[in-house]
Amino acid sequence: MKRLALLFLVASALTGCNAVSKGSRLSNRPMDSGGVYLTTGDAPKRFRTVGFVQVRGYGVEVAGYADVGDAQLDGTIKGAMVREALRLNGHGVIHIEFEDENPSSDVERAQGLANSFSNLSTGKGGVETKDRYVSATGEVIQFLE
Amino acid sequence: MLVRRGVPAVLVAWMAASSCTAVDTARLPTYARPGDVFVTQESVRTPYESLGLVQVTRKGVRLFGFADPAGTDLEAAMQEVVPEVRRAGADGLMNARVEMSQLTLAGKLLGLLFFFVPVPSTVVVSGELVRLKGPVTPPLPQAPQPTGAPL
Repeated sequence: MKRLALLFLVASALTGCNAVSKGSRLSNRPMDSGGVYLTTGDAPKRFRTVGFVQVRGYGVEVAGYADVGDAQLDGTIKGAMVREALRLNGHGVIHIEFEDENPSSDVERAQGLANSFSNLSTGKGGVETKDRYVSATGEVIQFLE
Repeated sequence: MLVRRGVPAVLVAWMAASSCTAVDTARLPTYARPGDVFVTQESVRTPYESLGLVQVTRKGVRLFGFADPAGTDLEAAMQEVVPEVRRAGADGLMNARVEMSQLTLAGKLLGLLFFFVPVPSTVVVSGELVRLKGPVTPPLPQAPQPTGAPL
């Protein structure tokens, strides 16, 4: 029993997990299109600040693979954050900082899928779900030119 | 008996005497050779094309305070980030943010003392992938302007 516990300890330490979260492209510099200007950097021309916005997107990961709700970088930044910027009559959001708070690694996703199949086939429980959170902050600006 | 009492006493004394500063460093590509990419915490002010956002998260546990077999330090995270930049076809990552759990020497010694409790450890690196337009030169930070009266 002790050996088993030790083996589990070592195995869990060695199998560190690595998760990569990706979001689609933001705005280019210089500006080349309409719409709300989004960047993690600074503004490409003169501006005034009209406010700050912080969004915490919530969603659910279903069976390891399907994401429902705002818990992806795109849903939070290009959805909820842009809506708030437009509500403040902003032309853009600069200095965007983001964090995918609890991303799943490929192994965890595969495990969620396998557990869901196992639960459904044995009739013991349903599809496995996991709460997901993505937070983002930014400075809402209006261009002066 | 003396040894059993002595070892924890030495550990406690070492902890008390140790500094509370934890240091982690990571070496980055120099951007001096073809194919090198840059990672910077600054904004790029030359024209660029945004290729998206990326966040790399490494999670694991520390064993016995000092051992980090899963590689959850800054260097390991950077080794994950650089291939992601290349895979996206970007020249670099701007406005990089780093967040990691750091253990001071005292914390590591506590981990050694309570060796049966693995300590969770995480490192997160995030930023915006960009491809520079025009001549590709590294976005070197500007040299600080001299202040005060000339000598």
